[in-house]
Amino acid sequence: MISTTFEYRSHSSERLSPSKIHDPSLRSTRSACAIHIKSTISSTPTTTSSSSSSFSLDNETKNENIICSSLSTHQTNLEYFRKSNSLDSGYKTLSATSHGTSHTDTIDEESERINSFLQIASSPSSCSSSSYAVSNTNNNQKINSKIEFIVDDEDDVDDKQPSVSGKDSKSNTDGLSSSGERRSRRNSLSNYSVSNYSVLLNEFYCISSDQINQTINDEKIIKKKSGFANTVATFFLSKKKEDEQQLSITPTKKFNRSRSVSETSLERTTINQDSIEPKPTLSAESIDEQTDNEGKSKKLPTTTTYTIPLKTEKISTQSLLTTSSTNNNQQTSLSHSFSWLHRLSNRFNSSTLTTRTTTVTAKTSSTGLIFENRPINLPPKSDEETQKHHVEYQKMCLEAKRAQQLFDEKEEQRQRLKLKREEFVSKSLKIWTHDILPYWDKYGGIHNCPDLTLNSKAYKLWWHGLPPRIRGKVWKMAIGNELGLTYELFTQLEQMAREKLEETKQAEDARSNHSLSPQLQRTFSHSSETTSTYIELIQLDVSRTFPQLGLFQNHGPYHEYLQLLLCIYVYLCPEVGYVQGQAFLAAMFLLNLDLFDSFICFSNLLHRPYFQTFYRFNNIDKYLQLFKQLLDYHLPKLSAHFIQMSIEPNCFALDWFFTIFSKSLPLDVVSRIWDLFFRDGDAFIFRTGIAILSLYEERLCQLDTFHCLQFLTRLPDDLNATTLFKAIDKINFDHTNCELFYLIA
Amino acid sequence: MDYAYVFKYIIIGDINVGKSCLLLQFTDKRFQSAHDCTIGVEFGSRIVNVAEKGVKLQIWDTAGQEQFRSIIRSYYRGAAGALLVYDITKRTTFDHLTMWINDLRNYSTSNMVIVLIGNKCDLSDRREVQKEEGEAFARDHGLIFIETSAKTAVNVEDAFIKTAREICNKIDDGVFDLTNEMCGIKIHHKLPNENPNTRRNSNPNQTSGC
Repeated sequence: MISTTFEYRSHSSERLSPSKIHDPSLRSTRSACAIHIKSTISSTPTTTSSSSSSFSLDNETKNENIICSSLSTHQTNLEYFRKSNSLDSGYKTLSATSHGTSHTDTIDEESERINSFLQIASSPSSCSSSSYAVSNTNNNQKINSKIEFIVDDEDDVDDKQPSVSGKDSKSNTDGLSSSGERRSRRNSLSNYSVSNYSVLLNEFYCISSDQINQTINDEKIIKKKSGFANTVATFFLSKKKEDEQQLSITPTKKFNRSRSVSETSLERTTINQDSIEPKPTLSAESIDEQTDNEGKSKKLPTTTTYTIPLKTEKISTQSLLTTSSTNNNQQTSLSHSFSWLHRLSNRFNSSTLTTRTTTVTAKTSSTGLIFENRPINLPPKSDEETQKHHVEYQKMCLEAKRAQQLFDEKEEQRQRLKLKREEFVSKSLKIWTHDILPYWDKYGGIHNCPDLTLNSKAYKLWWHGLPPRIRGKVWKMAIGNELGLTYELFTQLEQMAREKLEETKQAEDARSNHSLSPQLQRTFSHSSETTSTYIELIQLDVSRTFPQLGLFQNHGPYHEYLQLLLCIYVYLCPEVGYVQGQAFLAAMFLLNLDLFDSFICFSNLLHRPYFQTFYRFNNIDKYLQLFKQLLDYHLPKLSAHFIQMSIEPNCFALDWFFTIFSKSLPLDVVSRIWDLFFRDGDAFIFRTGIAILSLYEERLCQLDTFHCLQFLTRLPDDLNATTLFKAIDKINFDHTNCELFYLIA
Repeated sequence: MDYAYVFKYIIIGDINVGKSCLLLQFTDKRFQSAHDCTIGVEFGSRIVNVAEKGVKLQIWDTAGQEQFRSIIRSYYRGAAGALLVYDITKRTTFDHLTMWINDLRNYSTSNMVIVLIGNKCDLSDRREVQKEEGEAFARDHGLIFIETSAKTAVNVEDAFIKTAREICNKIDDGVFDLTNEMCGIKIHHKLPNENPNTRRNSNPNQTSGC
């Protein structure tokens, strides 16, 4: 039990009778458990003093903040209950409040309440919130926050909240309100599911470099919040599941927890709203109505001693309504609802903490478990049943909390890593853009730059991957333009490719309309049989390139570009034409460069001996043999196993070599591999290949031929860049190794 | 589920005839119009019941583009069954069958069971190859023939199981030399009630033996 003492001062017109004030339910507002309140509402309060915490009533109120805080927490409890009972109604309430009725309360008042609440919420004892009290020194920055949370430090920093400063709570609110806005932007982006890719990062780099540090700080909070909001949402999901089980309502919908980060809780909550429709709903108004009824008629068993809490609840609800109604902006309501979620989950955390202690002090009834009154037409529950439900409920709470904690920890760790990475990327971006690239530009390329120390510095930085914003630029520099391709040539080829594509499309339309017989159709597109075959193939393959991104598929933003680029290459180099695998290479360039630059890079890259070997099927075996030799040298045990199982590299490594891993590994990992491929050349492909095998050496040695191959052609999804690059770092190609590549080339 | 044999299958045929979709339909019972293209080879497996025996099918799904053919030839080695697929809505894929058959004959074991599959039979309104033509071709070359649709799952199961049944028949007839690993058939050693015919001659220390 938290041993903080609260002074309960009320400015409400009603007088609170001591028996009610000493009600154990109100004892520790911070940890106030929803069960407490509900349970004591129905049972007559008997405890007059408590060992660790107590309330003393002072009606001549001076400090409004305190009551505000208790009110809002109380409110939160109630709100929590609405949620736990019918999630739908909970969310409805959130949305309803934004169009709520007008009220005389001022925004300032309300924001003070929220602040004071946040103070409570972020005090160290409530386990999850403490970690969110990120020390944000940029107190004044309020990115896009529409709600102005006014904090008066003198009033707010109460001696009862020893460890939390007003500053903290302020930064908290800032984070909260801006996070909603950010997140909504993020969500719209995630439509393209490129969450972990450059587009997102670029988003943030667009902010000028002076603001980068600021942004990082801000991001810190947002990250935490979003991770946290996720967990909250997850909790409610699990809670909902449990509810369904208990109430035996139609099959539980399973939600996938391992969704990508970008699909933040906003989406989840939406799912919630949609899927819980059949449950009885309570809108904000209906609750008000209900509470009014309770206050008047006292028909229902729960209302016996509830008058005062009811009043207070109403006050805070209405004041909240005001805030929302004054800020009609949707983003605001978004952020508002997030701050709600935040608060609610805090309530939950603390509530489960105290459940055990409460069972001793208060006898609970089922109405304490479920906020909504039992429908009148149903018979009252028996004591046994009540007790049973109570126990079940507590069990569920504990389970949910445990799951949440686990999830929390994982999420936290993930976020920390991600944050670290992002911080690094922004720092390295600064170095690249300020120190390195200008010089390379000046000397016209990496290799012409006479400053060797700069080059070695760049190479070191390069190892950690290029910042997405400059990735394309560096790639382009590294590849160069040996073929001397010009813009004029490009426009000509582009023209041809466009015409051809149009023609093929018409032929296709005609074919599907049966207006042309196959013979006729063949003559129609006779210009060049092989080119037509290539074009057909390209059209087919473009939609099969990075299908998970949805960027290159029909009607995707890059669909046409990829088609064009591959077509142009067919015209540029008809003797190679289109070979499956090229689409992935071209797509990688298009993701980082515009069409013309992609064309230059793609064409020059394919002109390299390595790709000429593969894409012309010109003695691929020499590379495969080389790979076997290297495998034998670096991983003799696995090599022996492969020989025993007669596993050849051409059974599992072809798509590695053809697409430089872009077909086989997650995009962020591939991007970094490509970065280094452009730094180190062909050897890096083989180094990576060996490193991948080294990661799974033990596992592979246990498997037979088929399962080895199956494993290697479908590598685990959880392969991340850090692990892989650690492994790559360990595989060092010595001088003789590297010489082999020169010999082959 | 326990199984007595492991068969190696190979799926071949022109590009975009639906090889990978057939495999996906057979192993996962789903159809995916936009999947990755196959570069080199991909794998899938499933255990089926054939003649009251469990048989594990290990299927090699190969790339269809002509340029890859030289690489694909190395996969033929040690396959017991082959699914040769063409697209009934595209005449050229049927025209190339002879080429594929020649390849198979040259680079695989002689006892390989080949099933000819006319895929995409759900698109009968765009049909360019008649069923009779397919049947005739199969008859001429001694293949099993079946028309399937990977999209609607019509006959997909059958295509794989028919091949397996044929292989089982051949095993029972003693056509295969099971001591040779290259025949594409492995006896699963964990099974207690193996085919008595094979058990009599098998070496208990080896996974295959006859």
